[in-house]
This record gives sequence, C-alpha cells and structure tokens, in this order.
Amino acid sequence: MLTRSQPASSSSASDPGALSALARRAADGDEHAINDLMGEVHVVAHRYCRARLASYAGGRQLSDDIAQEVCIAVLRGLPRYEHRGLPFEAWVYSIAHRKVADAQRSYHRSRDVSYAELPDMTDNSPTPEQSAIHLAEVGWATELLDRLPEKFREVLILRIAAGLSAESTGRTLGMSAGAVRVTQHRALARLRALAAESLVGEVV
Amino acid sequence: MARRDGYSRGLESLEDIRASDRFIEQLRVSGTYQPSTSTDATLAAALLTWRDEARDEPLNPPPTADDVDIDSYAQPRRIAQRAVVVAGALLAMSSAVATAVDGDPLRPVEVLVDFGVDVGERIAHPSTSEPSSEESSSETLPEDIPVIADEPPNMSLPDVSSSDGRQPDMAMIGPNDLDTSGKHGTNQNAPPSVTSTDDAPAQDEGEITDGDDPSTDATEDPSTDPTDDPTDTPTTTDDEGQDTGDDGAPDPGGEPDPGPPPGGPSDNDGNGNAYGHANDPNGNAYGQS
Repeated sequence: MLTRSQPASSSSASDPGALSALARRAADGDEHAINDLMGEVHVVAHRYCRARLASYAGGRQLSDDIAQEVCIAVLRGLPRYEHRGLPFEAWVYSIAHRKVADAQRSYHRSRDVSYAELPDMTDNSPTPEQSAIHLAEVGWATELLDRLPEKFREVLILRIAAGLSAESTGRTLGMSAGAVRVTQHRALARLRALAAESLVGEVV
Repeated sequence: MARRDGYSRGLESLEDIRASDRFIEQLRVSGTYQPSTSTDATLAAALLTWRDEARDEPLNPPPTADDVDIDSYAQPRRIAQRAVVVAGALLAMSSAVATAVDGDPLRPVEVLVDFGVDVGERIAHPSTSEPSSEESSSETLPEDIPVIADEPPNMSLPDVSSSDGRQPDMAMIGPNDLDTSGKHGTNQNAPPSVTSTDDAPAQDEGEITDGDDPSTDATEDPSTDPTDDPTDTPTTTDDEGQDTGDDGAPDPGGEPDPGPPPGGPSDNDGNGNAYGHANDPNGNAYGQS
C-alpha cells in the first residue's frame, strides 16, 4: 500500500461559482477579494505550471515566474472577464496554458536558465541519491504524460497535480464531470499501457 | 460486470470508470493507493512524486492588489459615467439655450448659435446660399431648347441648295485649327449653339476658319433656326457630333472632338452621322456650329 504525505489540496475547486463571485467582487475593486482571488489562482496556476515544467532544468523557478505572470495577467484582465462568458476557471486556465506554451518555446530557443541565489544556510534537502531517485521518478512520469494526447494529459494534470475535482476540471476545460471521468479513465488506461511498455523496455 | 455498448464502443464499463476515478481521487487527495500490479505500483509512485513536485510551495507569494494598479479597474466604468454626465449636461444646456427668450441671460448664446448655424449652412451649401443671378442665368440653358433626343435622326443629306452652297450655320475649320476651335468653345457668353440664331457665333466661327477658301466664311442663314423649320435638324446634329459621348447637350467649354481624319471617306458618306458634312467641298470639315 502506497502512502504519501498529502499536501494541501486546492480549496478553490469545491464551490462552483464561488470563484466567479470572488472574481466579480475583485473586478469591482474590492481589495480583500483581489487578495483572496490571487491566493486561489496562484496555488492552482503554480501547480499547473510546475506539473507541466517539472522536467525542465530550472523548472521550479520558471514555473514560479510563470505563476506570477498568470496572476498579474488575471489581475489586469479582470475588468474584461465579465464579457467573455466563460467560467472563471476556464479563463485562468487559458491564460496559464498560453503562458506555459510561451515559456516552453522560449526555453527551447534559449537554454539560459536563471537559478535562485544559493542560500547560506544548512541544507536540509534530500541526499544526492534521494534527489536522483526523485528526479528519475518525476522525469519518468513527465515523459509518460508527454506521450499522451493533450486532452488526456490536461485532465490528469488538473485532477492529480492541480488537485481539482472532476466538476471543477470540467468547468475549466469546458466538459461535463462525466466526460472528465471517462476521459481520465481512458488517459489512465493509456498511461498504464505506456508504463508497462516502458518498464518492459528497461528490463530488456 | 456490465459492459456498455455503443457510446463507449464497449471498451469501458462503469465499474472501470469508477475504479479509475477512485485511483485518481486517491492520488489527488490522500496519496494512499492499494496497487494491484507491480506496474500499477510503479506508476502510482511516479505520479505521487510528480504530484508532490508540482505541489511544492511557491518561491514567491502571490501578487497583491498593491502590486497592480487596481485603480485602473474602474477606469472604463468611470469613462462611461463621465460620458453620460457630459452628454446630459450638453443636452440640458442646448435645451435651455434653445428656449431662451429676450432678456434671458442665455439669449446671447442663442444668437451666437443661430449665427453659427447660418454660417455653417452657407459654408456647406455655398451655391444655394449665395446665388449669383447673372452668372447662373448665363450658364443655364434657355428653356425653349428643343428636345433633341426626342427627334428622329435625320438620315437624309443636308440641304445643299443654300445660297453659298454650304451647310448653313456651320464654320469650316481645318485639322490644324482644333485648338482654335477649342478656344471658340470657351466662349461663355454665347448661348448654346443649338438655339443660336444671332450673328455673333457665326462671326466667331468665321474667324476661326483657316481662311484658305474665302467661300467658306460662315454666314448666317435665317432658315437655320430649328424652331422655324424642322428640316434643319442637321444643325443640331452637328452639335451632337461635336460633343460626342455626352448627353447631347452642347459643351461650350469642351474641346471639339476631332472625329475621323480629315478628308477620309467617312467625311463624304453623307449618312447624317455626327461628322456628316458631306457637302463640304474641301472634304475636311468638322461639325462646328
């Protein structure tokens, strides 16, 4: 039985329409609503970006920067959000998806990656062996996910990495919750087949 | 296990979908999963590591309202509100000015507005606001002009039995005198030659002839008045020939159409066309009234 410490899941996914109501108050200039909205958006955007860029060198800093850009883009676009007729989650997702795609393009054009300044303190990070195993697992999962069709991959990223419910994922991607469940089932079946194929290849 | 056909093409069952949803939910929330196969266990471990990696705490806090100029949020609405206020104020002001009477403080404003409207109308319609009676009357055609287009085309030869053996009311010019005839066409004071029966145009036409043949001097023949004799329509067809392509009205300022080359066979065909001066003894005549 696999047991892993559970990080806090996003609380934004539970209430359909709560995020939209918060966005409306933020668009009216309510400062508290803006800060609350940014807290929700930043968590989901950072998880999404981190999941998409997990295997990139300097992906931690890169995804953090992109999450910031997503939040600022959401803040600046809030006055125009009302006219789009989309769920708020879908609008944020479209922004994050575009930002990640831009970052991937620029990453492949230029491999210059900025790293955070090294702190002068005790290093409590995992040992090199643990880090290697961790990176290998992350890299393998990312590789398998990258071989999935985009729709399958996006559903798994939003459901597992971002921590959204099936309903919230459906609102984000413009699908019903049932369609999300069917899609994630097919994605998981494809992922299992790819994993088995990869493991057999490693053994051989 | 019940299989669904049709919609899912028989590949998925509800139980399979629910099992996958439970697997996803365990990865999403609890991070605890009971694997059934070794491949499943490896995959679940990799996905949990990937999920934990994605859910790391961000390096930077989210931006706050202070980081972005939130005053710009209300800017479009403020602009719309200001536009409504300004429009309302202008409307109220205009209605107050329009209803101002003598003694009202807004009365001078109304006078100024009326003056401005008057000036604006004059600028917009200078021709209608400032009619010049003499010029306009001299440029307009007389009302007694016969409607040329209604008359049937004269296919007969012109009357060659006139006194001097020439087509009456017709000047003879050579091919080198086209610019001179154009100068003649700029005579603004002469009325259109369609109804011209006085001597002045004939004298002008006599002056612009090259003078090689004295017998070609144009003389006025009273019988050329189309209002007197309907058989004199060749005079009007000459004008049409001069202004080919127009609506049939003479163009006093336009250049004469040179037409076919002088001396060509079409000059002498006498078929009554636009250049049909078959009675020209020199064979180089162009229709000129």
